[in-house]
Amino acid sequence: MKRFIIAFIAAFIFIFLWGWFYNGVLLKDVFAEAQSLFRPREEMMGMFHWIVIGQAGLALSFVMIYASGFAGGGIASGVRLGIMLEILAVSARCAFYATQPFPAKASGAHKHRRLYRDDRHRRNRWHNL
Amino acid sequence: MNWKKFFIAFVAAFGFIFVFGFLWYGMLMRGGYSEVPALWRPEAEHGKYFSWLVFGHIVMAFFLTLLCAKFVPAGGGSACARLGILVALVYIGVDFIFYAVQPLTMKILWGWVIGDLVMFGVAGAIIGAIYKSSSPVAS
Repeated sequence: MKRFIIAFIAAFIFIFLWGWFYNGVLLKDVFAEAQSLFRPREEMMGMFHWIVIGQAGLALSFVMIYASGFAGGGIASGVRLGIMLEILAVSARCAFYATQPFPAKASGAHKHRRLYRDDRHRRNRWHNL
Repeated sequence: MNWKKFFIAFVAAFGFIFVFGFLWYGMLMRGGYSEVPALWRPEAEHGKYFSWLVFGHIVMAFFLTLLCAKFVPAGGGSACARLGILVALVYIGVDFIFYAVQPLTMKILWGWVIGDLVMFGVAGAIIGAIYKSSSPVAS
């Protein structure tokens, strides 16, 4: 239990910092292209606890999955689990990209651009709206 | 890994996830989505992006099947349903974050939360039931 709690705290801190750096800093300009899809900044800050709860829930469920069947495999097993869960998350982003007018860069769907050669054309059309 | 059972379980999971997604997110939650129409692509564009939707569901079903097949030593419906629910909790964390950054309504948020729990729980149970006789567990 002690290790579980330590792993959860470490995962939460990493997810929080990575989320801030990747989504809040690196992808800032990309998200700005779809500003109308997001809450205004002040409102977003008022909802900050939802981000913390969401990331804590994400870290907790990740550690629970790891502890329930992966723990024997050490770091490599954790990395494999992380990659699988991330690919699952990419599948959800494909669904978001299909239903919301995000630029492909923001949805992470650009990773599959080679499978969808007309994607650039679609994005250009979106930018022209 | 028993690839024949894996493939059958994957197809069954995909069929369930796709049909459930259509009924739950596409039909039952339609009223909730219409409260914030600016967030969604216009209906006329849906056809153009349908391939992304199908591709997303295929990837989802494939990796959920892979997770269940490789990492649930005992196999069986209930064990895989539990794993499915844990995976749903990962998605629910993401739902909360989307709620914080996008002007979604509470109705949509809780619709997603319940939908994720049911979808991944049942899909896990289906995979576990089909892949029951379990092949060797990967380390």
